[in-house]
Amino acid sequence: MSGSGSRVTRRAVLAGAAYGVGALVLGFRVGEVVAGTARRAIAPAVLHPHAFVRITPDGKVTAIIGPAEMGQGVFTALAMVLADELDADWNDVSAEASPADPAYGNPLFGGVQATNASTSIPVFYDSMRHAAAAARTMLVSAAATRWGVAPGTCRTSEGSVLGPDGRRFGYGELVEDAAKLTPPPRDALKFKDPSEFRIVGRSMPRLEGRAKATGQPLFGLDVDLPDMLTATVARKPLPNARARTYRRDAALRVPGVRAVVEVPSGIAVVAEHYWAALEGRRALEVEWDLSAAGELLSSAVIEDRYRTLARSPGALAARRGDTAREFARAEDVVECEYVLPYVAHAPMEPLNCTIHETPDGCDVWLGTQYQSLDKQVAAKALGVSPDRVRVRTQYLGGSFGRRGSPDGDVVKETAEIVAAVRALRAPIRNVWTREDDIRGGLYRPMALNRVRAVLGADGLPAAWAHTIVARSACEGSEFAFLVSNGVDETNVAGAKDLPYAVPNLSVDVHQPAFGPTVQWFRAVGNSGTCFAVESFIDELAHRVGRDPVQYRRALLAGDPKNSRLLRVLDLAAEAAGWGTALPRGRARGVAIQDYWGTKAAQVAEVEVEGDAVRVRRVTCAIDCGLVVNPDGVRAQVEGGILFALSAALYGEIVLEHGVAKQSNFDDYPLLRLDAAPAVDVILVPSQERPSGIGEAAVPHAAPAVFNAIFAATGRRLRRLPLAGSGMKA
Amino acid sequence: MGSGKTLTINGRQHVVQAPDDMPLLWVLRDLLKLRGTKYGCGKGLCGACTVHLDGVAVRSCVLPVARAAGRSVRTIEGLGGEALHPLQEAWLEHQVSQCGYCQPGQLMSAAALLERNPSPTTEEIDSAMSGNLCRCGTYPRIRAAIRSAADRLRGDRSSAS
Ligand code: FES
Ligand code: FES
Repeated sequence: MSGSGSRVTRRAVLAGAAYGVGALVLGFRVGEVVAGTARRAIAPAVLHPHAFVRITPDGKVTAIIGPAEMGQGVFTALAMVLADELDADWNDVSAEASPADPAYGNPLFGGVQATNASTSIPVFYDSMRHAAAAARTMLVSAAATRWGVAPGTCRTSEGSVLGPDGRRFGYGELVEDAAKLTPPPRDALKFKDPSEFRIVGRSMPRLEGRAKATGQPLFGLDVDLPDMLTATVARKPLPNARARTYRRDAALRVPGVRAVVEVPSGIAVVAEHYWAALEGRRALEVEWDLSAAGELLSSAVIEDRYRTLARSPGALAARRGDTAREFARAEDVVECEYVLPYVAHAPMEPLNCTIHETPDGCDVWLGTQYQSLDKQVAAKALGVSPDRVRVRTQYLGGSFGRRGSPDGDVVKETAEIVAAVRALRAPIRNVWTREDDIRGGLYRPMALNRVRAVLGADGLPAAWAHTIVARSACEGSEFAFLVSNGVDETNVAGAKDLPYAVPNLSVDVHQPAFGPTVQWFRAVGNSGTCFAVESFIDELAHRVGRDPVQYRRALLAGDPKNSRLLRVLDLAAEAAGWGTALPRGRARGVAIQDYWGTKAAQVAEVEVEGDAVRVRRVTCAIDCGLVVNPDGVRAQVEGGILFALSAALYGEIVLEHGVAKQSNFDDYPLLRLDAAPAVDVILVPSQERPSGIGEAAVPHAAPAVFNAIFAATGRRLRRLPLAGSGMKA
Repeated sequence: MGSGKTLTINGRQHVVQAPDDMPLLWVLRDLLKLRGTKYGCGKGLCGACTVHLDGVAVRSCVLPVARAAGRSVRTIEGLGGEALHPLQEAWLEHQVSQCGYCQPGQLMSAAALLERNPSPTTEEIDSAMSGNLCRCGTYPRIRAAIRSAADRLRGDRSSAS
C-alpha cells in the first residue's frame, strides 16, 4: 500500500457495515500534498499519508486521527483543521483513533504510523484540509443536484449547505447522496483562505477534556474484558541475564495465580487480578545469573569512555570554513564539556498492553506511538498474519517517547505471554510496575558534548568545533535511514544547524554502541545540543563582558533567515524584563533554539539562597507558524518547560555494573507542584506553515536555568542535573 | 484472610472477597471495575491513586482493603454525581488536563483540600498538592483551577446564606 503520486482513492470500505448505509467516508492518499509539508527531507521519498473524515446521516462528523493522543492535543487540533475546512458545526465534531493502516503512515518516518518529533500538525495539516474540502465539495454537489441549481450558487456554513433563496440542507441529510459521488481530484478543490478560518486560530477546549476530568476509562490500563487475566513479568535485570533459580510452586500457591511461564524478558505470572500477579511475582524470589549478561558498565565508566572518544574526531555532520587552521594558529582556545546523564521517560501511566485472540482475529489494546510497527510485532510473536491483527490505540497516559519503541517491547512481551498461555483461552493484560519502567532501559542517551571556540578581535567566535558523543537510538532500528555516514540526524540536530554567524564551524559525532539501550526522549538530541550550545554561547558572552542577549543578537542579526528567531529572542527578553534590576539572589538566564522549524526563546528567572535554587518564572516566546489552537499551544509550552525542569533539576539514571540504581519516584524524583515556576507564554502570530509544538519548548529550559544560576552565583554548571552539582532545587 | 468485606464506595455498599492486605486501589480497579482511580507508582509516591477515606485524601495503593472496611470511600466516579463538581468545572474552564492520567488523583486531592479549607492560600495549595505528580506539567493550571473553584464555592455559599 505504498501509495505513490497523487492518486485519490475513495475508501468506502468503512462506510457499510459499521455505520449504516449512507455514511460518507473519505480517505485520500495524498502524496503530493505532503511534499510541500515536509519540514525537512529526512525520510526516503515514500509519501503516503492519509486523512479521513466520516460523516453520518445524523450530521455527526468524526475526524479519524492517525497520530496518538498522548496529551499533546493532536486529536483536538487536527479535528479543528478538518472542521474548519469542512465548515462543520464544531458541536457535531468528534475525534477517534484510527486503526493501524499504512494510510496513516508518517512520510517523515519512512511511512511508519509514527507520532514522533512533533510532526503531526506539519504532516497532516494539509491532508486534513484536503479530506475536508473534498467532503464539502461532494456535499455541495449533492445539495445542488437535489435543488437543480449550479453548485456555484450554494455555500456552506456550520454544518449546512445553503442554496439560493434561503434553502438549506444539513450535512447529515446529504450524506446518502454525496456518498454515491466520486471524490473530486485535488486540483478541482477550492480551499479556504486562512482569513476565512472560523475554528483554526481560536482556543478550543480539548475534545476529551470532560472524559479526563471525570475519570473515564480511556487508557490502555483501563481496558477491561470478560474473563481477562492480568500478567506481570519478573523482568531480567539485563537483557542477557538468566534465571538461576526461582520458586515456581510458591508463586502458583498464591490465591488467584493461574500460570507461571518463562518468556524471553523474564518470568511471567498470570493471575486473576494485578495484585495476585504481583504477589505471585514476589513469591518467585528469582535469583539471576548475570555471567552471560555482557560487560556490566557503570555510568561513570561510560562517561569516561565518552570523554576519551571526544578527544578524537568523529563522523562529520557539518563543516564550513577551516576550524583546524583556526585552532592551530589561535593563542587562546575556549573549551568546555557538557554532560547529560541517562534519564527515564517515566510517563505517569505504567506501560501495559492487552491482547485477545479470537477466531476472527487478534485485538491489541495499548497506548503507542507506532501502531504499524506494533501490528507487525504482535503478528510475528503470535504467529499470525498481520492482517489478522487489529491495533486499538487507547489514550496514552503520557509517553514522551517511551511508548515509541521501534521493537514494540511491551507488545512483544505481551504477545509472548499470550502464546505461552493459550490453553487458558483468556484475554491477557500485561502490566509493568513503576520499577520495571525506571529500570527497564531505553533511556534518553547519555550525551557528552565537547565544544571549543576561538574568539576573534571583535569578541565573537571565529571558529567553533562541537564534538558529540551519544549512542544512536536509530541504528539497527526501523529508523536506521536517519543515520548516514555514521551520523544520526537526531543526535546532531541543534548543533549542526547552529544559527549563529560563525565563519569556521565543524560538528562531528561518535555513536558508540555500548551501554544501556536508548530511545528518543521528548525533544530528542536537541535536549543535549541545546544545553551545550546555549551554555557555551553564554560562557563566551560573559568571557568578553557582553550581555548574553546582545551577544546572541549580534551573532544572529546578519542573516535574514534568523529573523523569526531574533524576534522571539527580543520578545522573550522584553516580556521577562531582561536587564531590569532584581532583588538580591535573583538572576535571569536566556536560551534560544529552532526545534525543527519552531523558534523559541526562554528567559528563566531563578532565586539562589546558599545551595538552594528555586526557579521562579520562565518566560517563553514561541513562533510555530500558523497557530491552530492557541490555548493548546500554551499548554504544550507550559508543560514542555516543566517536563524539562524535571530533567534539568533532578533527572538521572545511574548505572552501577549495568543496573539502574533508581527504581521509583523516591529515588527518581520529578518536579512537584510546589517547585513549579510560573510560566509566561508569548505566541507570535504568523501565517507561516504550521510547525510542531509538542517538544519545541523542552530544549531551552535547562540552559536557561543554568545560565541564570551562573548569573546569580558565578558558578558555571556543565553537567545535568542540578542535583549532582552540590546545589539543590 | 480473604473474607468478605463490606465497603461503602460513593454511597453504595459493596461486598468484596479479597485478602486483608490487598490494596484498596486494586480492589477498586480490578474487583469493582472502578477504573477512574489510577496506578502510578504503587508506593504512595505519586498520588495517582488518591481517594477519600471518610473525607480525607489517602493513597489507595498503600491502603490495605481491611482498613477501608466499614468506612466511607469516595472515588473520582463519585466526585461530581449527575452534575460536575465545581473543581471539575474549573478543570474544564482552565483546560488543565493534558494526557489526563494524573488528573483523577489531582482532583481528589484538591477536593479534600477545599473541604477542609475553603480559602486556601497559594502556599496551602502548593503544600496540599505536592504529593500529586503530573509528568505533563499541568501544575500552573492546577493552581489556577483550584483558586477559581474555591472562589466559586465561596460565592455559592455566601449567596445561599
Ligand atoms: S499509585 Fe498510589 S501514590 Fe502512586
Ligand atoms: S496530565 Fe499527564 S500526568 Fe498529569
